[in-house]
Amino acid sequence: MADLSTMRTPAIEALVTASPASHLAALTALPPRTRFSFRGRPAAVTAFGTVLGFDLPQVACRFAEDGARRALWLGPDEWLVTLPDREATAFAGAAATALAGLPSSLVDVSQRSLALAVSGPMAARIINAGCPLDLSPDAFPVGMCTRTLLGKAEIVLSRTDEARFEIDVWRSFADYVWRLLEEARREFV
Amino acid sequence: MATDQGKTSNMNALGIVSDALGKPVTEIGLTTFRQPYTPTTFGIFAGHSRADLFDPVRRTPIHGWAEANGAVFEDVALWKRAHYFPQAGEDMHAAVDRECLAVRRSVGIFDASTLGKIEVVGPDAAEFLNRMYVNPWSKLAPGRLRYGIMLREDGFVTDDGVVGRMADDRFHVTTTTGGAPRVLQMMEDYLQTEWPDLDVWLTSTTEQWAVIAVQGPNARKVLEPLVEGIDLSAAAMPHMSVKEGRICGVPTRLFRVSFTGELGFEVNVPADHGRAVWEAIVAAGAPFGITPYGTETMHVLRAEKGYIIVGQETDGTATPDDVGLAWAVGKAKNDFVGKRSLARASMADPMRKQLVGLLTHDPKTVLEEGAQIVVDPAAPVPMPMVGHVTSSYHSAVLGRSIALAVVKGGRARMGETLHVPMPGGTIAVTVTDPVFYDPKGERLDG
Repeated sequence: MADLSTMRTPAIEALVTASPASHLAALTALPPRTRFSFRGRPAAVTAFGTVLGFDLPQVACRFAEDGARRALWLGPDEWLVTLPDREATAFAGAAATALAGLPSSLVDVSQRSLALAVSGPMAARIINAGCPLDLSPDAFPVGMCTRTLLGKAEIVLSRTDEARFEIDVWRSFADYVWRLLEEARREFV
Repeated sequence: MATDQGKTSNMNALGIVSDALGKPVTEIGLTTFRQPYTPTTFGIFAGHSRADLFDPVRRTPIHGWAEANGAVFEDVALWKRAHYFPQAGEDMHAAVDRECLAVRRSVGIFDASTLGKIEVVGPDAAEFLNRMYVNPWSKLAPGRLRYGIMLREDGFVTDDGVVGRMADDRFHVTTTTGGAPRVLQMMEDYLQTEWPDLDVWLTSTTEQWAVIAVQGPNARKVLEPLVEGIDLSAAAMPHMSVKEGRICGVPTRLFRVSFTGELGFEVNVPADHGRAVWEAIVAAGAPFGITPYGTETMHVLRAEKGYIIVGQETDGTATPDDVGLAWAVGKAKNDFVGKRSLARASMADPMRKQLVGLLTHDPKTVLEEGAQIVVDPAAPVPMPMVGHVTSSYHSAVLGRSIALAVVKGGRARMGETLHVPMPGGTIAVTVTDPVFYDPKGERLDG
């Protein structure tokens, strides 16, 4: 029997392939990553930080990262944690051990969503075509993240650099979000 | 005043007011002008919201396969779902008859990925579900499933779905396709405002999992060679159980569950693997004539079994008892959302509308869904109506039409003849039990 565990069918391959290049506003699909939704009481939050290798951010709408691991504050007791797929199994095991007996919830949501990046000098303007947030560097600095709307789809938006944003979007909304961003990019490609 | 902000209507209105008051237009005065001062196109208001971007179109991980295999799609909320898979020369009726018989006689495969899914985790998970659902959850053993019913505070059914206990502190909850966001929001609302003391958290996993239903007497034979670490035998994996393992090397939560009345499984795999696993099951099922089926066949098969669809048999005014689900209500529970309302006198009125089956006297006649039901078609207009048809189909396996309906005092009317007045004439029907096929449920065991 064939092992299909490495055979993945991404949600928006055709759109990504057909996407025109632009140095003013580049749109790229990021490779798969492991995602965990972590919720918990304070003791669990501390314990989870030791497994992660750094403390979960406590400031609203900020992410913390170390190497390829990132933790996004999404709510007072809610974080989205991302890490490379190769670390997933060991990480999940270590987290389960560290969290034993501590009220918390760790759920693998790796394939619930996919990640896109919008980068270049016009990146904020492209996102603002569908998102009403003030994305000026003062109001939405590097290191900030939030759940928000892009058009009619919910996304998680993070600013990873002055001119680079990442968008995490549920799988079935990715097609819509990608098309909406393409529409906004038309004048820059 | 709409998009012209009164620029057109203003002049007409002024003329009318001028007539009524007997004053010239110049003495009436003007309304307050608002933006836009110059005419504005609808395109400005629509912005990006047109064509492909008017609304998100949600597609499942298996959508591409369905498209390549000739599926006709239907809209369910924002989702595109395969409605039926016509072969050359088939209309919908012929395709659905063929799909239904394939499931009843051998095996069918169905994309159930749109089902809402919520992971409920934490030491108080069972207690939380005790409060949210009418059912009791504390004694459900890990590895077992239960059909759950959720009410609003008014005591009326608002959603249903199968819930699996993955561990003492972890449940895999499923909801209706259309109800997924509403149920999660309702659960979050109670958790945050009523019971913030409970140690339990909710995570939407609808899109984490592709769900492949494999249903029919040969379902086990199709899946057995593909799974590792899961014993699918009837002894090891009875109806309403769940096991974790691998299928084709891909991690799976494998449910033994049936919305068809046949031996059935629902294979949950992470979304990106859905397409490949689906194709592997189709290949393994070829010797059994595995048949892809769509939502229409799913509807017919469940109606043959009298399984309700929330929003079709229920309309926001149905109690569990009204739709024959009183057995699910945990009698020993102190409380759950809607319990107090169920205790009101009117909720026990024997003349409430109750779920029944209807068989037309002419087996070829398929009733119209929504059609009204009367006792005496000769009664003077306005004729007293006692209920309406909620689901109606041609059943291939029974060789006749079937219908579900809600009828006042319906369970006390078994065998009675009622009437469905239609523009072309009145249709006589017999009231029956809502389970038309395999009433003893023997086919669930294959």
